[in-house]
Amino acid sequence: MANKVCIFPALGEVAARAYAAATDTAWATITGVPNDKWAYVRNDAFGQWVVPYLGPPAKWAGVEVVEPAACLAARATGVLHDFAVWPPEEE
Amino acid sequence: MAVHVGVRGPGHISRVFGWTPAQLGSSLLGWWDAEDSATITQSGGLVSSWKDKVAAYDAVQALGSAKPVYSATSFNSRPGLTFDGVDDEVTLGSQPFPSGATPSELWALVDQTALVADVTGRFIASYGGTGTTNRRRISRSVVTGVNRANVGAGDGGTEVSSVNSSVDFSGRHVVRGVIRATEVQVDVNGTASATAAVVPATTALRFRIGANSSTTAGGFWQGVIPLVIITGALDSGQAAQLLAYLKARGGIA
Repeated sequence: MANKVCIFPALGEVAARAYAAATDTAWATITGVPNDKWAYVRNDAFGQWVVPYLGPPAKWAGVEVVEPAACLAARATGVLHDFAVWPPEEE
Repeated sequence: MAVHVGVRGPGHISRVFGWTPAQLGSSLLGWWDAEDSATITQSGGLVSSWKDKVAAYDAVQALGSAKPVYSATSFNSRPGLTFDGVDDEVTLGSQPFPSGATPSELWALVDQTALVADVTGRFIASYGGTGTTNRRRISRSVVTGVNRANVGAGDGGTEVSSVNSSVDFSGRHVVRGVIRATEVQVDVNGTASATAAVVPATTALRFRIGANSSTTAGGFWQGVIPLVIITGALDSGQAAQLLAYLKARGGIA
């Protein structure tokens, strides 16, 4: 699904995981499926924490998702980007 | 609630063209096809499961943010899965396809939408181990400012790839990655690349559509994938039939 990512500082793992938990909770409400998951929490190439953003342009059933207030509050220390720079591939 | 999508019955293609990949017989090892409504599980347009038509190998995605989007009209006005280039992919946890140096072919119908300014390597499909040295893949890269298709196979120590320098790999194409016992080659719409020498040392871990087969997926595809096929080594007649079928289906000259 088309979406952006929210990137937290390298020392911001706790905030990244809290944001991910908030998006999971909101996503389960949107889809109506209990315990449905939205997010991963991964390191990018620079050791920062990447969590998928729950908000436009993401869509559910063809309708753009409005960012839940709880998610907006939880990503206060993160920055939105169109994509992440992932670590180099394993050999 | 998850539902199966339904647009055209699985027999549609055979009625139109008279030949389907099923006629490859024992050479057909895996066949993911968005045209077959019974093989896709989606909810809200997001695909959580895409099963192949040979043995119901189930490529899955549990996270909402990483699910590709199903549309009945996204590829040449026919069904396809759109991958966002950010994090979308589906994964088969263990793969049953030829490993070691045993030949195989990776075929796909794709719409490649990444711009040349984006030089990220983007994978249509990849299988084998978690590293560059033990996998096989068909992918897209940018070479001197042009989108190009390429195929790669690891030999246990490094990865060797062959790039198709003849066809601009933007838009809709048929891609055929050929992995032989001693070389690889990639065809785009029937135009072949030069071969690159390699003795594959593919391991048998996972298969992924829309990204590489690393432990943590990367190299995300940007565009539409309506079909991926894995075969054993095809003879020239089989390859010609499959190519004609896919070009007709994709409206590709």
